[in-house]
Amino acid sequence: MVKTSNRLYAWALILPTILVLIVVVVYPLIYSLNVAFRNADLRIRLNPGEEYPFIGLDNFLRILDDSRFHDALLRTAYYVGLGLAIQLSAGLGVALLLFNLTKRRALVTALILPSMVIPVAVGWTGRLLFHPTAGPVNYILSLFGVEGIGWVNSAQYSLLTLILIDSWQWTPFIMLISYAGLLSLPQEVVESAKVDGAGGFRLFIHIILPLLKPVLLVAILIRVLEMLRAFDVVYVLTYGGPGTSSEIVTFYAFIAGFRYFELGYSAAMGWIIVILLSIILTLLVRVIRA
Amino acid sequence: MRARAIIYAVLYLVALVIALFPIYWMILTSILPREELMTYPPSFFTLNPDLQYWGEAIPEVYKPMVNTVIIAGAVAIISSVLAIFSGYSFARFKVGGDTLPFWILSIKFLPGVVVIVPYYLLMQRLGLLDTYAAIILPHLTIGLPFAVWMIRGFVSELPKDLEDAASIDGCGRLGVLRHVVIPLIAPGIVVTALFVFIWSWTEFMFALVLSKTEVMTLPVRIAGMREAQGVNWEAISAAATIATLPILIIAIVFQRYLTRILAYGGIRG
Repeated sequence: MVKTSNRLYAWALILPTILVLIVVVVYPLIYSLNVAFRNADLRIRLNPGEEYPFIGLDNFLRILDDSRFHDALLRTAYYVGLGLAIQLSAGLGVALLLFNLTKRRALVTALILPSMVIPVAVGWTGRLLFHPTAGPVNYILSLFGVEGIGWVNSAQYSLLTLILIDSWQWTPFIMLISYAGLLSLPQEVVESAKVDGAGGFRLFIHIILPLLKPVLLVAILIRVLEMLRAFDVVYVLTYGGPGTSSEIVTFYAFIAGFRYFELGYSAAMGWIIVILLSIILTLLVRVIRA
Repeated sequence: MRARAIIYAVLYLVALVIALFPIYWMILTSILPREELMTYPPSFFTLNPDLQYWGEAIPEVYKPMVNTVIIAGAVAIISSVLAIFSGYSFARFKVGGDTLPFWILSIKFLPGVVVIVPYYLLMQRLGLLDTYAAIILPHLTIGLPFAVWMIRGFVSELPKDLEDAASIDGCGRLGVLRHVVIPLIAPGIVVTALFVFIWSWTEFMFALVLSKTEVMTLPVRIAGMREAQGVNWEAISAAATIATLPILIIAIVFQRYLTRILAYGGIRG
């Protein structure tokens, strides 16, 4: 008897949260699926009570043929892949550096600040820093004899600029997570490996890295999910351009809906992104569990 | 050994400069006099700081900032209050096992593009475009899951004995929650609310689509400063600094919670 009333109480406490989530998440998701099967074009004038015309799978079939979408997907893969590589190596490197230091509190705080800057500010400041003629990045590069990289203004470098800026902002995240992981490592294991004569590099590869693996995989998971959602910095920094040279997949889905007014097509792309995401998630979670 | 110490010192310095230089550059640009802006070589510091552009930026961002405080405040309060109950229940009674909490957390990582279209159509149909509600509701999709996980974490760190002792002393079940649990996790509730507030403060996509003029938020205003009579870099940088400084200060004050907050995706537009 006590058990059942306890369970009722527990569910009663959760109920308001669930109800709100149904209203703000589940209902819009169902609505989104509905719209994805319709020709929801904002330029169509609807009479009151009228729905956008149902067109079956047309939006989804169109995605299969849309080379702009495919290019955006490839760009996203490049963005996530290169970005992760930079952020993981730099973040882990700095975390190891910090671990060697005794008084590090203030340094950790200073190094984490990039993650706290509001994304639209990051976008604008990125444009200043990477300005082709008056930016400090090109000035410093010119001291080393590298001249005239167009960065944000060049189709060749715009995506790379986005990757560098994302890495500036989120390497601290990997650093903080790895650093917390390092602090929680069993000290005896590390010490005894040192006694056994494991040098710095071997100690890292054979002892520290395997112990950190679970923490790092979770950090990678979060980063992949966040990078696939990237929008605000892209909007301010490049607006997907020049041309479509830095248009990643979320940005294209947004543009299709709110610049070309094809909301149904945009919703369909949103669902394709969710499906791809779920596949990646499942694979990553499987790796984590293994 | 000596050489090694020097190498380390240099590496720390490089990491620090890379991390802080862009922030320094943003603040510097906001106070550069016009003749020192966009020069070659760029001015890396100035002896004639000019606050004129802060004077131009403040009236431009004032109303959006008030809007953002209202929206982010509502999102923070609603999320934390709901999460006190559900986070406590998840931590203590393990309702729904692991599945339900993970389902809730996964909402936090749902790509915004998949719900932005239905939100736009629904708000348009309900006549709610450009109202506070139009932005508060979608912001709950992120704020609430984050708050639930934060509170769940704080409660599970409490020893259960205290609650048991209180109920033996005749405290009812809601009494235990009110007189024992809530006071003990009060700092955690404040941190949770603050970081939900920050998240909502920085969010861009929903605010961009669902506001027009009346409830335009700070990030939307700042992103839109490109259209105003050419690019006024100093004023934009001043506005960007105004929007960023509160977050930097809060992050420094609450730094010991940052690992947990970042792990639950607490900061990201």
